[in-house]
Amino acid sequence: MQSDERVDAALSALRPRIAAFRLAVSGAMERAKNTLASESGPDQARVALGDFAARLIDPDRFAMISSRFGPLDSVSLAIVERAVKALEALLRAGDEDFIVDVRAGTSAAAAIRARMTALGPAFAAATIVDLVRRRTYDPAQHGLPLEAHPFQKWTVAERRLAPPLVIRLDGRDLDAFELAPLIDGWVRLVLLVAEPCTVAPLARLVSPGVFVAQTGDMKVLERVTDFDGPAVIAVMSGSEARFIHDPRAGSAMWQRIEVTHMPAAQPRKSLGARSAWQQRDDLSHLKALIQQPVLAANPAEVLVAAGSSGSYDPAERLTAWLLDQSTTDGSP
Amino acid sequence: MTAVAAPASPELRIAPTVLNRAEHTIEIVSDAGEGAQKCGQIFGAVSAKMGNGVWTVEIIPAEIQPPPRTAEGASGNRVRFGTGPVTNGGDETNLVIAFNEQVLLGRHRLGALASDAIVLLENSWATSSNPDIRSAWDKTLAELSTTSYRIIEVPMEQQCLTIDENPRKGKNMFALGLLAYIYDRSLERIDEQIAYAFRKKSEEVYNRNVALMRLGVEWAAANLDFRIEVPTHPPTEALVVMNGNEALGMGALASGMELCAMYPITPATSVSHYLAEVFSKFGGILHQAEDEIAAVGVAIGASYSGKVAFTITSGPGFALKTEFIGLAVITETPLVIIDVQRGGPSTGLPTKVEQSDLLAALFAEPGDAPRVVIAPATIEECFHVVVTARQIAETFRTVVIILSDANLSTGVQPFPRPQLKKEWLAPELDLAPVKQGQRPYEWDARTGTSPRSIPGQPGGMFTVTGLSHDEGSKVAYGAGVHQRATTMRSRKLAVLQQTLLRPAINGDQDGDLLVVGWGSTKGAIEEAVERARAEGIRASSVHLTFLSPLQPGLKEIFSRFRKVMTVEINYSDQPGDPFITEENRRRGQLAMLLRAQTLCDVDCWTRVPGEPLRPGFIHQAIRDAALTLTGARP
Repeated sequence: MQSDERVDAALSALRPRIAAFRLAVSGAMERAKNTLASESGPDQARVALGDFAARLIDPDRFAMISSRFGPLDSVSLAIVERAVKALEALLRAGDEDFIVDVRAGTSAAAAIRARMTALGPAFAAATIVDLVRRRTYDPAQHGLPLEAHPFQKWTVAERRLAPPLVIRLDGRDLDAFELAPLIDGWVRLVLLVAEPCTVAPLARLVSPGVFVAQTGDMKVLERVTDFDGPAVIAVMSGSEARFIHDPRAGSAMWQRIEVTHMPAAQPRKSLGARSAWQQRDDLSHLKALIQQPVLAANPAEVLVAAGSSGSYDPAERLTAWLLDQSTTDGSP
Repeated sequence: MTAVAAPASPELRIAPTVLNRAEHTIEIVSDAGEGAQKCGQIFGAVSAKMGNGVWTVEIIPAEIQPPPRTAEGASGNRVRFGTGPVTNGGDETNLVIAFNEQVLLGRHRLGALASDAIVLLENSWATSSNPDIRSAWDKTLAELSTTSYRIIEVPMEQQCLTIDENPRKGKNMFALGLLAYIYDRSLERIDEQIAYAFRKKSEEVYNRNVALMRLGVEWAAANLDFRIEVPTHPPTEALVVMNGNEALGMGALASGMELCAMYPITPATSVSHYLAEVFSKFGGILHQAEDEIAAVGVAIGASYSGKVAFTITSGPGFALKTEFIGLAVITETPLVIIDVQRGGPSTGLPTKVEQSDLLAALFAEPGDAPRVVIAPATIEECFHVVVTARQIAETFRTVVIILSDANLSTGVQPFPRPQLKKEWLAPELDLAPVKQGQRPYEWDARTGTSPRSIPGQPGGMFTVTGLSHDEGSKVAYGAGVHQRATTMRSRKLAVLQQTLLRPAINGDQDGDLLVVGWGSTKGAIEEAVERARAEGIRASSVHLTFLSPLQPGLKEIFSRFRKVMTVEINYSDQPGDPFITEENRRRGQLAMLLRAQTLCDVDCWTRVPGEPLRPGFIHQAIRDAALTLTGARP
């Protein structure tokens, strides 16, 4: 496993996203508590109206007006109280809740999913509270679990608030295809990879909207602080390929991807579930991604080369080619 | 008139006579810019902190820089302080410190001084090299010689020049020292208050002011043959001392306001001065717009987008905001507007108190634009009113106008330190998806209220419009739609009125005369009623806080008294004046409102003197009104 310094550095870089998640949790808890408090009716109205209103306004009558809805039923009250407890538990969570240790030989994606499922009740609780506040909560229809709420059920908005995770794993267990379904919203996965590892395990995740990096430099993590999209970064220490795919860097793939190191030798042995051929194909894929399109210096030459005239004069050859393409001879 | 002789030598000096008084009223008056107001403010604050009840009134010329040494240009501060609570500026001044004889003359001619007032008068003018000044001095003292004032000449300038070479600077701190000696104020507390007053200046400035103040103490100890004891009762609970505008600003913070959009206008501006220092520390935004119209527009926009916003202004600014207030009403955008009233119309009396914006606050709008109008009566209420106003504005999606005035805005009064509550703050924005099918104006047919959608709330998007619209905010000119929408907006006020409590009656529950007031006149009215009751007049008073909607039960309360009379600081025609008849008489603004709403024959006694109503004048008006009940002519 990696040293704690790398974990600390990763957590430090992810701190804004952790704070955003915690803010969402505390906001949901505030709403939940307000919902419970507003059930106290006149007492709540008396306090909220302030001292000035004490001899001027009847809090009982004001509470009847200010509450748009009737009182909560016992089922709704109970679920909000449970939501408060779930949210309080999440707020008490320390940094360790954002660190995932993948047991060697097991699925990294499964471990990540499990942690997301454990943190997901924050979103479930917030949703439930909002439904209750609007008096639209139906236990049968909205039976969101407050103990576990898997990533696949998170909404678009919730995925943008996804808790960032630092994952310590063995390189053999890194499978990009397994991770792909988790890449969405503002997901941040920082993989602290222990050797040995395949040469380009994340090359298959490169796509136009995803920040992907294989790096040995922790500073790369700072680049995703304000990136508007998902990011997966593998921090490695071996001779694997080093690259950064930053969707903000350009419109074409070759503009967005920056390769700083390409392994000299082709993989010849299988590693974990990846055969040597698969590893070589990962590498070929990465090389193909950085390939710039070849453009002729003079587009006319390309056209001339396609012409049938035997003239050496480029103008004549171009004219001949154009005539050749036309239908002036009556042919269809 | 008595002038003090040259000071006795220390060995011949006898102990000063100590006069015991339950309360005293002092004035410090000068030309504008000589710091008399600061002297009074510091003295008032120190007295309050030592345990006196205090009410201060600023004496402000209508011009920013009137000509010096004129009777009309007096600038300064009146401080009424006593052993018990003090609720108003009182009647006459017992002790005056005047920086020149002309400002003293101005106060004398206004009848501001008690007949036995003690006057400490700067005497450098008597020996001025300018013969006109010497002549004016002689004439003034000749005029004052017919009074019973005890005038003590004080060589303020001569003394101050020993510390500060600028004769226009330092007299105020010297005067503060005189007062500190006369009333035995704590010098340590004065030092602290000077430090606070000059907190943005250098230490050298602080040291010079403290030295001038102590020079005044020493001079008084060496030359005055009297002291005045107004016993203090050190407070048993934590108090705060502030003026009404600071209280409004703090109330805005306590109520969770997030944005104040304003344009500078006297006498409201100092609220924004206070907020400029502290608002951002609490996440608030103070926005000085390019004009009054833009200011209210910004506040409405911020509120529409989910922020808790307010705007602050005074009469002329309020007039400019009229159209946008209508927009807030028709779009049902919660909005709190603070109007610190001053004398009008037009630019009128920028620095002087008046209660002339009531009808404008209630009705100044084309079309039907119901809004809530509340008037705090004390400086403490200036703090707490903002909390209530915000709650009402948001609960009813309506405009709430707070009517303060120049008397409250500059007056200083101690009051119990507010115990802030989390519930006063605005709750977190509810951005949960809007209930399916819910429209932006889903009026409850019974109450007229409707849930509010915030931009960004899923399902809550709608086109906001100032045009007549239906529940879906769709422009609709149909007669039925406009009638329904207008009814719903009006219904909210009726519903709010149903939550209000009947006003409390000060005094007996029935009797001959009921005095009705609103706003800052409460203390003076209640004091006047107490005096009248002590004379056997069966008078009581009611002070109205809600002007729109009016508190319930007024008609029934009025029926228990033989005569009902409002007391207001706005204009009314005087019965008996040329051409004035019962039919054409224009009455005080509250009187007009009460007559319309209760169909009771409500009379009024109003004045627009540009200063707070004195309890003595109100007392006389009560006597006169009581006389009319006996059939006698006052």
